[in-house]
Amino acid sequence: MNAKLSGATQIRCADCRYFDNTPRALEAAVPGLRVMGSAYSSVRSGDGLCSRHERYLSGEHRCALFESTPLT
Amino acid sequence: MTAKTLALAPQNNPTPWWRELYQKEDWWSIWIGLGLLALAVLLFVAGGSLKWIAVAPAKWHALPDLGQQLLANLPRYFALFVLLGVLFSIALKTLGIATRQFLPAFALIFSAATLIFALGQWDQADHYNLEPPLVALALGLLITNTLKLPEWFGAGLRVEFYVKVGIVLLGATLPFTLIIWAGPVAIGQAAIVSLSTFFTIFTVGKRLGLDRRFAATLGAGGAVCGVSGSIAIAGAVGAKKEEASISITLVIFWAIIFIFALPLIARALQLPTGVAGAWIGTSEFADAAGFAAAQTYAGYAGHIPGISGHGEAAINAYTLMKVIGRDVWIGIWALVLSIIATTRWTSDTGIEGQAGTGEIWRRFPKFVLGFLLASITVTLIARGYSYADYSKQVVPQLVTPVKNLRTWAFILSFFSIGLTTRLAELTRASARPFYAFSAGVVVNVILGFILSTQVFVGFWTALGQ
Repeated sequence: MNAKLSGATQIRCADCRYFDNTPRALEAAVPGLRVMGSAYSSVRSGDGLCSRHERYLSGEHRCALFESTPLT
Repeated sequence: MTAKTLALAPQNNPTPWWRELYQKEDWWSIWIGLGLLALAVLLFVAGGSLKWIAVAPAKWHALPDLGQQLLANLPRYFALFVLLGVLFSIALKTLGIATRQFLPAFALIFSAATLIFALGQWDQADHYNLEPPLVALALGLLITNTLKLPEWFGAGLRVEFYVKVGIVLLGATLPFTLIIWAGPVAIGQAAIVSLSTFFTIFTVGKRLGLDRRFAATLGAGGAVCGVSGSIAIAGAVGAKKEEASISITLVIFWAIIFIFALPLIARALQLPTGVAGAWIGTSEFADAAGFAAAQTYAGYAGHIPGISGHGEAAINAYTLMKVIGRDVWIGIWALVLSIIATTRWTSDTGIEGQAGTGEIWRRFPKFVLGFLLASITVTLIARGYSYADYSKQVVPQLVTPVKNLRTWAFILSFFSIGLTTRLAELTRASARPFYAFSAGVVVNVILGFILSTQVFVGFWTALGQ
């Protein structure tokens, strides 16, 4: 099963510079997450925060405003 | 997006699956829980036992008695602290939490947990309602809401990690045959309540004007697995950051109330232990909070007149209902809701979702695998013994030490809940999400009560015999 809209981009949010899914950043940004949950748990999968849209997204989301992470 | 940007974009290489084996606390709870169980089994097979290091305070009457036994067993408590401290440090260091911050915090938490565990063994503890889970929670709440704790102390407050280790160890004390026997009923009862709760919150939320993604995030928090449910569905449907925060806050608000309220109401109604455990498992929101309530009720067994069934039945029924009946289905909830959000909930954000069946496994709470493996292991070992020999040899030499370690893990978790809960932050949710979530709470509690105490009462009562 695979549900998908016509994408503006095929590049997923997980690779975007505005996307942060590090557990430490999530627990700092979402108050209460570590009271009875955890950013290190499996249920969170690779979800993270998009600082462009101020949304909590799956790494598999896509958006036309994608910007790549700087190459180092 | 420009062509240049696209050219700079890194290749879309998903993280290799095996990295999760050391990058997620679920897997670390399996390695630690099953590792301790393997050690206990090896020692048992060799004619020994893990009981020296799996120390637990004995019953005591007066303070000098307590001081004497703690002093006499000081090397054992220290050895247990070192064992758990080393195991947890390795796990958390790998996850990115600094050992130099974790260890001092853990030393303080472990010391407090020792006193809380010991207080529960006082022969007057029942008289004063000093159940260890409630004491741990209340003490933690008092400390964190009156004192300013240093930043580094937070490194030791890993509520979810401790409770997952405890659940894996709990598998060793829960016969696999019982999981097979009671699992389908637990799944059926949980499904009825979960679906009713979710649709209540979602419908009320929508009628109050909440965005559907927000209403779904709230609904999953109330219906599936609390904070974990909220955060998983928020990611799956792409909720706003503050919507995830508000949903989590509401889960914590009600979960804290229910830790105290559910055991007290069940006690007033003199519910059998299995029935109370099933109700708590159906109606509590977060794993750790529910274990605190179920463990509290387990402590009433044999002490409070009118409450029938053995104490373990409250914990077993709770675990079956919460872990098997609700937690394991989070991946399916996430898949279904992400498909609905992608295909039916239009958005002007320009963000597009993509959902596949892999979502079910990616979000599966892996610690449940450790719980099941532990249960199968001890059940297979027990098959080689008569009931008399099992009670005489396997229980004291193998099961009781593992149960003691489980209790330690749970007390560490309960104390950490209190220490991480800032009451002022729980009042920040605005009215509309509060009303929507609370509507689900009412349905959840009443339906859970009716199913546990009326529809399936014979089943859950039998669990405690």
